[in-house]
Amino acid sequence: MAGAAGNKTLLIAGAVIVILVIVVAGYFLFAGGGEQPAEAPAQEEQPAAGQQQEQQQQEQGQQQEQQPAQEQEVKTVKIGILLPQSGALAVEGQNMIKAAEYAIKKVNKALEEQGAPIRFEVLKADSGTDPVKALEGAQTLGQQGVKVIIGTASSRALSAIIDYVNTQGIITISPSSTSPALAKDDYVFRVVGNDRGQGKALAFYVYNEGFDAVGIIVLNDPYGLGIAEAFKQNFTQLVGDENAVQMVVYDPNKQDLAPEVQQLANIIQEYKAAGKNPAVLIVAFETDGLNILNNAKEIQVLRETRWFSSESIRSSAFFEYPEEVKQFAVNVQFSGTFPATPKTEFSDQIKAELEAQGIALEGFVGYSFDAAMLAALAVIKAGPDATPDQLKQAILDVSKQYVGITGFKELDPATGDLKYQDYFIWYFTGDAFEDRMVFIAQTNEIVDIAEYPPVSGQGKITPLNFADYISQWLAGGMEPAIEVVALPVRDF
Amino acid sequence: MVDEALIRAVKDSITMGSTIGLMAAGLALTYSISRIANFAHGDYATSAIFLYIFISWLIFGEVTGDLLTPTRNVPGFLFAPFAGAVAAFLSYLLVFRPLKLRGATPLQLMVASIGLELALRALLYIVYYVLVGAKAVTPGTVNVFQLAGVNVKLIDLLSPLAVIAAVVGVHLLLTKTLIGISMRALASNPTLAEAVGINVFRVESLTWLLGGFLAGLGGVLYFTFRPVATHPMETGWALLAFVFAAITLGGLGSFFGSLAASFIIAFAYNLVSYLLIQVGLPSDLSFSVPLIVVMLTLLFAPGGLAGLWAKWRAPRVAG
Repeated sequence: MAGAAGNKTLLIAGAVIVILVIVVAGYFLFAGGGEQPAEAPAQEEQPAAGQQQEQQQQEQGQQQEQQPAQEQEVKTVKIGILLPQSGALAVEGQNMIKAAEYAIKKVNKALEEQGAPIRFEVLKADSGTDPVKALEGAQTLGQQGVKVIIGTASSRALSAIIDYVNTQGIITISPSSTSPALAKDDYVFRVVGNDRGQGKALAFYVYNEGFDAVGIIVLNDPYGLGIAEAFKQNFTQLVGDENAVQMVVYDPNKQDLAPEVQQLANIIQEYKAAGKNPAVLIVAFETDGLNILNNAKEIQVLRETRWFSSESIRSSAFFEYPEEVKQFAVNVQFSGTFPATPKTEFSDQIKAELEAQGIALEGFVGYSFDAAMLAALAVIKAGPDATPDQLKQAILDVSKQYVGITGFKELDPATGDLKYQDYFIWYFTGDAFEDRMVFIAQTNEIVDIAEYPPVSGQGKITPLNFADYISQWLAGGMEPAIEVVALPVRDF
Repeated sequence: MVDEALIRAVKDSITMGSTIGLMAAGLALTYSISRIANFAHGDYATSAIFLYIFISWLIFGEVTGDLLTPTRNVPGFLFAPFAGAVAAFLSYLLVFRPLKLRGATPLQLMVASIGLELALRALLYIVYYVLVGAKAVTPGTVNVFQLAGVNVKLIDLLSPLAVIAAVVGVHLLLTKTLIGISMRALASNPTLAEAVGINVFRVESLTWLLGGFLAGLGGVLYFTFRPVATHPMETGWALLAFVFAAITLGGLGSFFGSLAASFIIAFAYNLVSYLLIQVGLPSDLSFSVPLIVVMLTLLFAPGGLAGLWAKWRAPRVAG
């Protein structure tokens, strides 16, 4: 009797588990095909690895077919793309991969049209967001003989491969790593400004607006603290007062941020009592940022103070905030910084082409395109047989001339990072983030958006006709023959 | 001039005490009848919050902060607590009752409730994701009037009213109806109650429905009062420490004791937080309040408020 009941229970439990598994698997299948990055890796990993191998085999096949072509003196240079095909960044990663591939495809086409003796071959590996996987990917690419790697997406993955690529002499260009800790003179370059630059831009902006004290509410992670510390350093220097900045650091996993917001209010109150003109700076992401603003709108002193923000809160989610929160943001003249991308004919054209192929130019996708372009142009300049050091120099040289779809890409030889990242200054208007001004990193000036890119001689920045660009490089003995009409304040 | 922050701390304490009180009172009811330290209780509140969001989606076809404003989502407000009731009843029917029938110990039941908590929360996350997506929503609020710079919200007025309604309702239920009297009988002596022919299943079912309903009501009120900073589906779990502290201080299983204890804890939490900020200490320390309350109660008055009340009252009744 008892045994039978036990069996029946077991059976029911088994059935329930099977049903649960089916439901969960079904959910993941749906979500994986859709837009859920976090859940995707589990089911994507295997097919992705399979495809990758297949692809690599195909590519190797092509390469063997190309052997005779090489005898006709067309040399093939391998470029590796090490970006997330799985993991939390997989969705954006896929678009970044496509954008980088597209850049190489365009270069190849131009080279073919010009009859140039160089072609590029793309090899791909998955970096995930996992340091171990990234290193495996880098090693695979290294063994296949790539000269340049476009990757990785995250600073965490980049720090895992940095020793390997430096010892192997593989030039690595990251489209989206921003941690200041990786700024070194090595074979690694980054085409997006690091967090320090944004802190500095904010400091100049807030100071320019006439404030002499700032209370910061910032999330406790490398990104938040990176910006906040840089802000503090620059702002206290500008004001000439060590105590001009006070921070409230909050734990992003904390459930109730009301006490932190009250703490911020007390800081502002103290500044006001001391006869200062204080402002608030918030460095937060969507959900915690919403919670902070939602709490802040209840406090009078915070309603009567101007608010500034880093780029991280600027997202479409903001428009779905409750009306009073948006109204609060409008009332406190909520404004902040965002990496600036000058609009040129070149950038418009490439954006249209990418979008036509279903590649959304969000986040760091454009940076990925520019990273691949820089890599290809540098190889063309240095020649297919260049040593790593020659190639490194070529990248630095090319970067001075290259105005990509994400802006000026001049790299700093001392750090390998973008030398000057300009920042848009946006205002929240209630239904949009309006870019109104630009912080010019080279001069620390703030100009009106209409002057950006600033007018020079014949007009705005010379649009780069792509094929011309390549042909000029080739014709000029790999020397840049095209004149990039620069900002007057810039010294190209 | 009275300090704005202090007024807000007092106002928040009343609202927080009310919302947590409703949840704690619900847990006290189920605990008194079934003797389960139910970790899943917070998720009955979360279930109600989910239904609140879901009803908004049914009505408007989308989920935004504004559409979740209590005055715009009145049906949501009225029906959401029933999701808490259903979730509580189902967990009794499908998890706790079968376990009890097989003679599970209180410890085993508690561990089972932890598993149920995890499963329920994960399930709510999944359906939330399908419905709303990756974003977290925060409901809009309605200002009624301003008191020395402090906005007093509709929810600040509704929450104490809900508590009063719950107190009156439960008092009437327990003293005037047969099933309420059966509940009390079952709580004080299960064996005897069963022996005199009380339908235990029916009484327990009703208790779980009622307990879940109160949790749901408290959860929805809390959600519109002070949404948690991470994700709406975390609300119940985030409040569980407060709820457990309240029923411990209230005297495990005492409905009215838990309500009173919730107000004490809410005031302590908000005022300690206020004082910490005033003297410049990290306000995070105020989270130790519920835990300290639990420790002190168990050390010095294990019977909680209900025990103290009984002790105070006994000689007077006898005399």
